[in-house]
Amino acid sequence: MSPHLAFVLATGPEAGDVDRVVELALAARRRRLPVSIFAMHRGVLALAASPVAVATLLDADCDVVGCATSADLHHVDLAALGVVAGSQDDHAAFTGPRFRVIAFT
Amino acid sequence: MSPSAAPDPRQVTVLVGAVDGATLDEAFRAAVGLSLRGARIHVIVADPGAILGPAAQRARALLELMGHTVDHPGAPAAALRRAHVVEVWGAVGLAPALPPPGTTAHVVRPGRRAACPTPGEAVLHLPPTLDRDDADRFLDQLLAADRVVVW
Repeated sequence: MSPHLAFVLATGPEAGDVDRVVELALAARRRRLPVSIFAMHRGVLALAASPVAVATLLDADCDVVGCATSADLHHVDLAALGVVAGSQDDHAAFTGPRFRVIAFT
Repeated sequence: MSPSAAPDPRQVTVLVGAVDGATLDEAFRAAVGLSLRGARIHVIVADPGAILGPAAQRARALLELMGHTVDHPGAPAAALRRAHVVEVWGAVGLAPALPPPGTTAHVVRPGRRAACPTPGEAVLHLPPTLDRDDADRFLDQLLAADRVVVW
């Protein structure tokens, strides 16, 4: 069974992890592997600061979910970014056996 | 299916290093969140000087009430050995310990170090800018490993 790559992004824009997630996600998509990203904490700020990165991920058919609690706290409009507002249940879904989790936390 | 045939629950290790108070709270919130689908959670607070604020204390109490483990460093490599999923929050400096079975790919961001790699494990140092060729090469090793730890 092919793994499903799951990225957790919790670092802010200053960490530079968004670009790393994008490159690794695109590498996975070139191999037709499914990719999901869950952003929480300052990760939602990193997405907001990189709308081009978000668009690249969405164009590559990656699932991009932002923690609604973090978005509210940091005043990030996930819908305007095209990012689905989610919850910790989306994070917990990554604990399933088919996921290979890469956590930039 | 008989109870004895039930699969082992997935194991998640949340390793918390040197972080600010808000990030410490978030690491504990993440740990509670990660438990929502039945995984067993082991939180290791690697900074002995870490002071848990009220939110982190509530999360810790909830995790312990649900039978999960929250402790200070003792055997971090053993926790990694059991883990299917590892989240490292903040920079961690831990002494090496037992080698984990299976393979772990250690992804090291600029300015960080892998706290407990063992000989033979992949240690991938991320360049400041990751290009397409780097990403393809790294992905090969991430997919070959049993677990990925981003330091």
